[in-house]
Amino acid sequence: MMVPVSILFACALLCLILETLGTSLGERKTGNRYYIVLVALTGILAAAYHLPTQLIFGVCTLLTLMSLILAVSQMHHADLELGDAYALILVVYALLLLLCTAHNLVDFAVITAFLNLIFIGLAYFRRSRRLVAEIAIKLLFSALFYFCFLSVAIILALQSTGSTDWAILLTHPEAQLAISFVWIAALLWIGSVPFLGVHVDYLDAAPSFASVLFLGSILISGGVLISTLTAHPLDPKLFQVLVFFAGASLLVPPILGLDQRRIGRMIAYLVMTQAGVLLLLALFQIPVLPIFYLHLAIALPGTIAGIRFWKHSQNSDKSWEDYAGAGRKHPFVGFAWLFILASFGGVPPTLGFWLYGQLANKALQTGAPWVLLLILLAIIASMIPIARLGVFMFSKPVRHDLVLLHQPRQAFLVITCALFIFVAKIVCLAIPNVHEFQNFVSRLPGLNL
Amino acid sequence: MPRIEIIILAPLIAALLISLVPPLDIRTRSAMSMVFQLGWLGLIIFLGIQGSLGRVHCGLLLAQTLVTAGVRFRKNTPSLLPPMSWLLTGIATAAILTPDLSLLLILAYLHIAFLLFVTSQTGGIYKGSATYESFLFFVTIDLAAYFSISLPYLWTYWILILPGLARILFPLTAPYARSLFVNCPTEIMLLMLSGAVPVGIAWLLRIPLPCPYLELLEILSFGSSFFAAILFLIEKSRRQRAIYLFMTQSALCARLILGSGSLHVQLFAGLLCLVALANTALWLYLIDYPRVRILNTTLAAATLFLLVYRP
Repeated sequence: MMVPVSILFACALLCLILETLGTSLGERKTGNRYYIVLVALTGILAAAYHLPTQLIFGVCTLLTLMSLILAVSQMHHADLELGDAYALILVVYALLLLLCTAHNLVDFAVITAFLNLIFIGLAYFRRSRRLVAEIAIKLLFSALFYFCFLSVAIILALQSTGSTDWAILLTHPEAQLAISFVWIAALLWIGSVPFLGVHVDYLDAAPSFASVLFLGSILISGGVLISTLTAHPLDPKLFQVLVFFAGASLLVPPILGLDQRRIGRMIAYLVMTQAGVLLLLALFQIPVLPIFYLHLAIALPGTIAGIRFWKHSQNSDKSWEDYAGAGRKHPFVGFAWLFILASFGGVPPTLGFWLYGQLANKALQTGAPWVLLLILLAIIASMIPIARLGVFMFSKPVRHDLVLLHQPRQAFLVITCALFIFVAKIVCLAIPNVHEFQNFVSRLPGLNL
Repeated sequence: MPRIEIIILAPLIAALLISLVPPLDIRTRSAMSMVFQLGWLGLIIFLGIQGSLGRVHCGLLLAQTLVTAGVRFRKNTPSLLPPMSWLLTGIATAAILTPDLSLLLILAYLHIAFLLFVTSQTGGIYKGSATYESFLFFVTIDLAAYFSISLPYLWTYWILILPGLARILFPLTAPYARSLFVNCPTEIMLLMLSGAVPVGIAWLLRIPLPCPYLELLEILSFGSSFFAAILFLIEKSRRQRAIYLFMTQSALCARLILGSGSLHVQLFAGLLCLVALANTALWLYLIDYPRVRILNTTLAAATLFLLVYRP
């Protein structure tokens, strides 16, 4: 059974490379359709072989649905063939499922490298060619760096332990250096400080389904990797260094975002704080990571749809002033969008605040009250630009005729996402035990595997 | 005792009903709002007589409702504001009634956030800037107090009292007051005072720790009161003077609530603060009648007298 799946997967990757190269060169051949069908079928078969019975599949499914809804609403704006993007999205999910079941370092390195490749391909489904080319080059360099770190880690692991299996690596005393390299790769993968720039560029220039997929995928798969690495007790010095990076990831992006005039870029910085949240949740071993993924799966499409809602075809780079009075014209969409952003910021009564609350409880139990100060600073730093956006949206008189830009699909998506976040918060409060929550989700129709 | 959820939901449902009433004309909507206010008042009195609500809760809710009852929205007010005022009433009620300290702070934060949202609708760029600064101020102190509840340190007391002090316009903790209240319509001023002050008093009465340094508290409160009195004397705007007069009294009331170990004295101080609130509301209602100032000054002098000769 392993051989056919491997062959199929190799075919899929070959097709993917051809497809990506073809798209990047601007060649749209009819023959591409065959590759697309093959890639999609391969992804489904590969996923079917490795179907895990974890909550992560449910989260990925939700993310798929959200992304597909968003993709459908975006397709008529993009100059592309419909099947290309769908095929790549399917392959991303197939790879994500494989990633969740990866037991050794080699699997992880190979799968994430191909994921990076797909994201470069997805970035090309954009109109602004120059910007996209820059992003793709940056992302390519990032992927190469990432693969280099993991390659060094694999070599070190083989030299020290003779194995690349997680179970051996994490417990073997001589594998510390290899694990350190894996940690650097993990920080790069999730876009933590100091590896922030590439991810922000991607999000900023591609506020579309590709962004949702990209950030959701790196954070969810990064969460799997980091929770694997933190499953065993960490060296105290390494723990301190990682907490420093987590704190920096929480504070630096919103501070950098303050200086941005373009809303898309400001929100990209804001979203990148989630890497810090993920790191802290994993380092303190708080069992709410599935809910964190759920939060991402709901909030990311809502955020991007909010940007798209007010995006003008002739002026794609909206600044603060362009949002003057936007909330007064569309109060419900504006309020829902701010609610979603506030959830990323972490103020009550959002799901983001609930996650911070769980972190604070755990920090108090483990005798680390300084984490509370970190959380407080992170919330305030994130809320400064969000509150400013709210003021521009609701306090100033209307300057533009924004009614003409009203897009029902995005409005529906933004409001639905905001409601989902609110309901998820109530569900989390009603079911404080995360294991019960997992059981609850696994019993949902369509998610029960 | 009826479930708190019912009391919390009541004003929200009322807000929904008001927003659904077809506007026969602009005065009808105002009259309907008055009917709902009277109904809400009756509910509080009924629950108070029945014994379901404590005397403290009754006092706080009645003061809030009576001050809000005078709010009349203008013809050009956005239709969202009347339901929002009911939403604010509901959140403030929930904050006053909740037995959980953390939940009280979250509800207080939500209340002030929506209140500032309403305030930002009433002015141009300048008011937007003032509400933005105030929002960040309240986010900071409310969440700092929220996270400080569990900390085992004595110095957190000074963080814990900040949300309460800021809401009763304790001068040192209300740097936003001047910019927020200047050129503010009367109805919005009343909405802010009626919601924030009872919630602030409720929080001060529920502070779980005794004051660790009474002398410092006394210096701060009397200094603040003196500072507010000077501002009261040099201010020319009559509305601003009403606010500064309230500040002189609320600072002293805060001293009594926080500095006294006796529950009766604390309740008495809370009552004094509510009287000062009603007094300020009266000033704002009757702003065109200068003789009312005599009543204000008398009440302020009485408060000070009672504070000097401590009961």
